[in-house]
This record gives sequence, C-alpha cells and structure tokens, in this order.
Amino acid sequence: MTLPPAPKARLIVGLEIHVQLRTATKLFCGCAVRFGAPPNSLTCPVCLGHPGALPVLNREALRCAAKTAMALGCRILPRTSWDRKSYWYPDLPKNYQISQNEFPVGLEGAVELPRADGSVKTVRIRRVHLEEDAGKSLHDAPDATLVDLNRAGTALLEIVTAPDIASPEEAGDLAREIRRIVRYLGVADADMQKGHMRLEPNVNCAVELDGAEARTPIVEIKNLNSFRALEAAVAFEFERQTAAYLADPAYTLERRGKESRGWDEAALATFVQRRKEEAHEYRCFPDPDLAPYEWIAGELDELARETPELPQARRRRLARELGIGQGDALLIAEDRATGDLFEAAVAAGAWRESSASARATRCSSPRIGRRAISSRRRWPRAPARKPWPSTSSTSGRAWRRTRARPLPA
Amino acid sequence: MSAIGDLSACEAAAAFARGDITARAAVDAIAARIERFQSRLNAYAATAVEDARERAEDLDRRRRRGEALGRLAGAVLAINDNFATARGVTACGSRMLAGYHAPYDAAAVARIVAAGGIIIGKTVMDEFAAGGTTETSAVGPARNPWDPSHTPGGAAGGGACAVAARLCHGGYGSDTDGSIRLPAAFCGITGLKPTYGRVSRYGLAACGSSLEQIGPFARDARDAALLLSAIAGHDPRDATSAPLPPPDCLVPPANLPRGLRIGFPRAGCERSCEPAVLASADDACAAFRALGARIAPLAMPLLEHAAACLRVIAAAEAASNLARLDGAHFGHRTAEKAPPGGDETEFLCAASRREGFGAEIKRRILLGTLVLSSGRYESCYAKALRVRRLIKEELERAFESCDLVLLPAAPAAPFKLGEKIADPAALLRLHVFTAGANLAGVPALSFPAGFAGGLPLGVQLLAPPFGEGLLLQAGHAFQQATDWHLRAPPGVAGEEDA
Repeated sequence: MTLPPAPKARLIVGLEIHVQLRTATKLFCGCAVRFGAPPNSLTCPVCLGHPGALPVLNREALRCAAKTAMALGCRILPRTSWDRKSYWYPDLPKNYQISQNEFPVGLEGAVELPRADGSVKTVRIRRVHLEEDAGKSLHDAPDATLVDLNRAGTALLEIVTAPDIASPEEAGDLAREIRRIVRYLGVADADMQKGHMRLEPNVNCAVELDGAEARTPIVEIKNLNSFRALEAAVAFEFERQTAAYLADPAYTLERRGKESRGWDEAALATFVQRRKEEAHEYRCFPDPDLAPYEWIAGELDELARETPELPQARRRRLARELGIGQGDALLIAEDRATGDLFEAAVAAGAWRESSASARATRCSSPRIGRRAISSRRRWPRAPARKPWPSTSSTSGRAWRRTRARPLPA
Repeated sequence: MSAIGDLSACEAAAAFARGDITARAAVDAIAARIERFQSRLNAYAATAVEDARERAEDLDRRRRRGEALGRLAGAVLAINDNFATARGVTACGSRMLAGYHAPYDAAAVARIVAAGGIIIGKTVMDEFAAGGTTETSAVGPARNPWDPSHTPGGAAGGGACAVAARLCHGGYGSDTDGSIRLPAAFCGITGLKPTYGRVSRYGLAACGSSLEQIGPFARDARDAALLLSAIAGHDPRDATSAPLPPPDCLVPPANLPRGLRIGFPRAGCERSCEPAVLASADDACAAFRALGARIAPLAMPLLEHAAACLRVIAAAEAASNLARLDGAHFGHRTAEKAPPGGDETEFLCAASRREGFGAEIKRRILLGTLVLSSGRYESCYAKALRVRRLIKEELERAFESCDLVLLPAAPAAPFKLGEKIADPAALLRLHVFTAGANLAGVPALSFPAGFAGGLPLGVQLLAPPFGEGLLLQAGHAFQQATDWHLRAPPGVAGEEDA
C-alpha cells in the first residue's frame, strides 16, 4: 500500500500598506494633524464634508508621497490626478473618499529585502498613491457609535506590492523595510501603536495535488496594525486555505473569487467579513474639484536631492566599506540616528580601535539582538485546530446606530 | 428720481454714495415691495429683513463717519438658496436641507458683504438646481412677474423674478446648465454666467461641480459688471478658481470694439427653437450690425447634443455630491423606526432620502449612479466626457473666426407652469442653447431682446474664456441702442415707496 502523494502548497502574498504621512496639516484642508486631541476639535467645513466646502491639495503631502515613491524605485507620473471613490461608512463624511485611481503618484517600483543567507529578495511595488483617511468610529458608548473626525482627511499613503511575497516572514520583513524607508525619509512616524501604519495582505495559495496546481481564493485581511499580527495572519491563512482546498476541491479562486476577512487578535484566527460586499462598486470618477497636478521642471530633482541614503544602500555600503555582515548591518541601519551615531563613531576612530571579534560581540548584544532574531524567526504556528469562527458571531460591523453628526465643535 | 425700489444696483450704490438715500431706506423700500409681491410671485425662499436693516444702519453710520465703503454699499441684493450662509438656512430648494445651517459663509457671500452689499434673502430655485422651471423646488414654484401663471425659468428662477419685479436691486444665482441665463431671459433681465474659475465656488452647495459658476442677475449689463466685479477673482480655497484678477469692466464702454465679429449659427438655431425666438435673435443681429459689428455665419453641428451630454455629467457629479445627504451624515432624518431585524442604518438612509428628496433630483441621482457604475462608465460617462471635449473644440474653432457667438437663450418663450413638468424631453430641450457654455467653461451673457405675446425673450452672447469684459461691453452697447431691458413687468414698477 502506498500513501497518497503529499500536497505541495506555495504561499502567494501581496501587501497593501497604508502609511499616515507626518504632515502638519491634512491632505485637503488646513486642519492640524495631531494624535489625542479632543474629539472633533481638529475639523473644519472641508474635512467635515459640509455641502459647498472644497478640497485644496496639500503640496507637502504630495512631495512626501513622491519622495517615498522614488525611494521605492517607482516611476513618477508627470501628471497625477484625483478620483472620488464612493462608499458609505459612518466616519466618511462625504460618503466618498478622495483617492487616486487612474494616475497615482508612482508606478512600478521594487524593494530589496536582505535575507539571512546574504542574498536579496526583490518585491515589486505596483503603485504608490495618496488618499484621505476616514475618521474613527468609537464603540464605547452603550447605545450608539460615536464618530471622531479628527483623523478624517489626514494624508494617507497607500503602497501596493505585487504578489511576490512567499512567506509570512517575508511579509513582515517587507513591512518593516517600508517602515524603515518612510522613517529615513522623515515622511512618516509610522508608529504602529498610533495606527500610523496599517497592513492589508492579500493571501492565497497555489496547491499542487496529483500533478495539477490549483489556486485558492484571494483573501484580503483587513486593517492589521502590527507586524506580528501580519505574520501570524498570513501564516494562519496559508494553513487555513490549504486545508480548505484539500477538504473541498471547489475552494478555488475561479469558483470563489475574492473575499475579505478580519483578524481576531485574541483567537489568533481570521474570520469572514463583509461577504455580501465582495462585489464592490466604488463608482470612481475624476474629482471635479481638484485639477490634476503636473510636476514642475526641477521639482522632482529637488526631491531626489533631499532624499537621504536609504537603509538598503547604507547596509550595502557598511558591508562594502567596513565589512559588516548582513545581520549587524540590519541593526546599525535600523534607523537613521543609530546609523549616524555608528558612523560618527567610526569617523572618530572607534573602528580602528576595536578588533573584529569584539565588534561582532558588541553588535550582537542581547538587547538589540533580539530584534534581529525576531525578524528572522520561524513562521509562527497558528493555533490550527480551532474551528473557523462563524459569520454571524463575528460580524465586522458591530456598530448599531450613528448618533454623532459631523457638526462644528 | 425713481422710487428707491426701482433703482438699479449701480443707481442705488451711487445714490447711497452721494448721500441721496440711506441704506436703511433702501432696505425698507425693498422689504415693503417683497411684503407686497411675495405671495403673488414667490420669489424668495427666505428673507432676512431684520438682519438687512441692522446691516443697513451700520452702513449708514459708517458713511456718516466718512469711512470708505465698498462698491455695492447701498444696494439691496438677493442670493440663491444654495449659497452657504452662517446665518439662516441653506436649503437648496430641498426638503432634505430644510433644517441645514451651514457653519460658514460662502466665498461669494463674504465678498458681497465686504463690498457693502446688503443681502435681504435667498431666492427660490429648483431642488439642487435640477430643473428649468422652479417647479421641482420644495418651496416653489416662483412665478414669472410678466404673467404669474407662467414659469420664471430655472433653476435659479426666484432670483430672476426678484430682480425683474424690483424685489431687490440685483441678485446672484448659480448656473449649471443655464440656471442664470434661462430665467434671466424668461424674466426680461440680464444674467451672466462667468468663465469657469472666475468666481470662487467655495460655499456653493455643489451639484454639477465641473459646470457651475456663480453669477449676477441684473437689470442691465452695467449692473451685471458691477455685481460681477464684487465677487470675481482668485480664491485659494477653490482649487478650480483661476489665479487672475477680476475683469476690468466696472463701467463698460458704450460702443462696440471696431470690427467686432459675431458668429451666429442660424441654421442650427432654427432647428431647435420657436420662430419668435429666431426672429428676436435675427433682430439682435441686425442691432449689432447697426452698431458696426460683422455677423458671420457659423456651423455648430454638435450644439444640439450639448444638453444631453451635460445631463449625464451633471447627474454623475450630483449623485456624488449629494451622497452625503443620507440622514446620517447630513440632511433630513426620518422619524420612522426601522422594522425589527432589519439593518437600521440602511433603513435610516433609505427612508430619509425617500422623504427628503423630490422626484426629479431622485431621477438625476439614479442616472448619475448608473452612468458611473462599472457596467456603464465607458458607454455613458466616459462617452459624455468625450462629447464634452468635442463641443469645447467646436466652440474653440468658432472663436478662431469670431470674437463672440450669439445664440438664443431659450428655445421658447416662457410657458405656463405645469405645461412641461411631466415631459422630461421638453424640459431637457430647454437647455439646448445654454448647456454649451457650461460644458466649455466659457462666459455667456443673456439679455432681453424682444417679446412674444407680452412675455420676454432673451438672447445670449458667448465669449472665449475670461472674455467677460468684451461680453459686458457688447451687452451694454446693445442696451444703449435698444430699450428691451428698460421695460418692467406690468404693475411692479413706479410704485411709490411706503
């Protein structure tokens, strides 16, 4: 008796990353951007969506977006334009979001991720575009959902990768590298705790069985706000989708299309969300209130000149000039200040005075070494034997009734 | 001197500046006339007489102190119901916004006030400018002062009615598809749609964002020039506003520029309008010829598609702009309770919209939603954008051989209220001559040019972008040679002031 051949499954992940830009004011009005201000205190007729109020582009946000797109190797479109994306949400005052559909800031870039073995993994970037953020719904009142529109209209950068990511740890590494890049550029704080960076992986699997390969449905996991959650959710989906396909051969992309799932941090599992809205109708069209922006000659060169050396370039240079290994370079180049301090110390002569072995010891000191290890750890194992949460018990839209109206404070 | 209520805006401002009248007396005279005629004409959706009196007294005090006051000081003015004002309601002719208090003044309102204008009320308009008769207004219709059984035209019909009936010295409307020029023609006054970008749209409750402009309703071209000069000019809060100074046309020259060429696509007009309308356009051409202009034949085959093309684009923009009026974010909120077990929010939005919106604007929102949907975007919306570009190019070609283009303002004389409201195709055809200027973004001036059966007829001149100065000069020259604009509706002019 022979055992059936073991199925081979390959993970396919693309990532959408939202980064809140660190601009002084919102994307289309002069309201300040600040975390923790009293609810609805940072608002005006424009970001409250009052009839007749009009958006005016914050050029600084556009410059930040272009800098990031260039840092990600994107082609900057000479003419970038704005579209309205219609959907209904309690914390979206106009019932449409100003975003970029047809002519984003940048297209077709790539990010290089260093691997532990010294090789480099390239993840292609599909597009980089700007959009306005929504407000926040607060569910702590007993009988109502309250809406805080301080965040409404802040500048969000959306970075979309090609489905080039092949493991949960690569997903995490990519997100971390993007965070390093935006921090190097100074365009974002990217503080995960404050929700400055939100991650949405699109996950599916290629499962090979009996010599034939099938693709599982593409699952978009919404609004992850930590790298740990990203890695765990992707790993969970890999196992869940593979198992679902093996249990039901109709569980394929062709049959089921795409779906959205949420991430339950406590259960460490994804759950079905918004199935009825799978066929979204955004009715995108060019925003008549905003003229397309055409870059002025020299403007992009100036932005390029302002761009500092980026993490991967610095790591390469550290390796080339000082012979620093991949792991240590990752630590030293983690943020600009650390790298600058290190290089200042080298310039001051510290390098000559220490031996190579001592260098290695110091750089792998336990306190910072942990972070290096965590970025290369094994796939986190999902608690696999849990039954899938049912749709009814985990409706993503827990809010009941919108009491707050966007009125001036 | 004429009664204070009969003065034009220029005359009222000049009389105030000379000290011949007080602003308070001007407000009182206009208020008395509104009191007298409002029930018959329904020009105003809301009045603010007490605010106007206070403001007038303030102007009078400042003038006595010798302060320099703006060019509109002493003029009592009306604004359309879709201009946001921090005081009072901004209802846009809709039940949906009957309780909406904007937290700010529109840019145009702030400029009117800064120029010394006294705003006495908001005039009746079709609901969210969706209409050409004021019959879709939740508080309409307004009536034609020449015959109250007839429509004043729309959408901003109340403003034209108020100016024609001397219920203000001048007014402001917004023009999406002829909403200023059509009622101006129907009421026998002068109306200007400025170049897109000439006047800030900040605070104009948006319907057709890429089409609409705020412009004046005036007794004549001189008044139109004065009223425009107060509100025109760049506004950093409107990204589509042009970074240009206001046009220099405060007192237009009385003669035409030498060798002025006016194109008249007569054959195209003949196909789309009543004989009386065509005759008045011919007469206007003759008058311009007598003033020294050359009338050139012109072919504009795409003209007849302008209204349909505009309808698709305006509906798409309206659907998007009005999406926020759902009873949850903005607008009327239903008192009904959701049936148990249903989606409460969906019910709230659906019921609020069902109660708040009238039939015509619902049709436009549905049309707009349809043409933007993924299945119809290419065949409807994108196609309309292409047609828009072709119409714009057709006009640009016309302006290569002509300085101005002359068209009738409306295809027909004013008609009875109720006569066409059930005939959507006839209502759409009302905009056949006006829609082109909105699609191309060019300025157009509508002015009285004849009568049919005791009701006014208007023609319009179109100019290349930012050609308001030339338009007003041509209109003014025409009005020096004709007297259509001096006629007043029966029973409204020459009243003694109370």
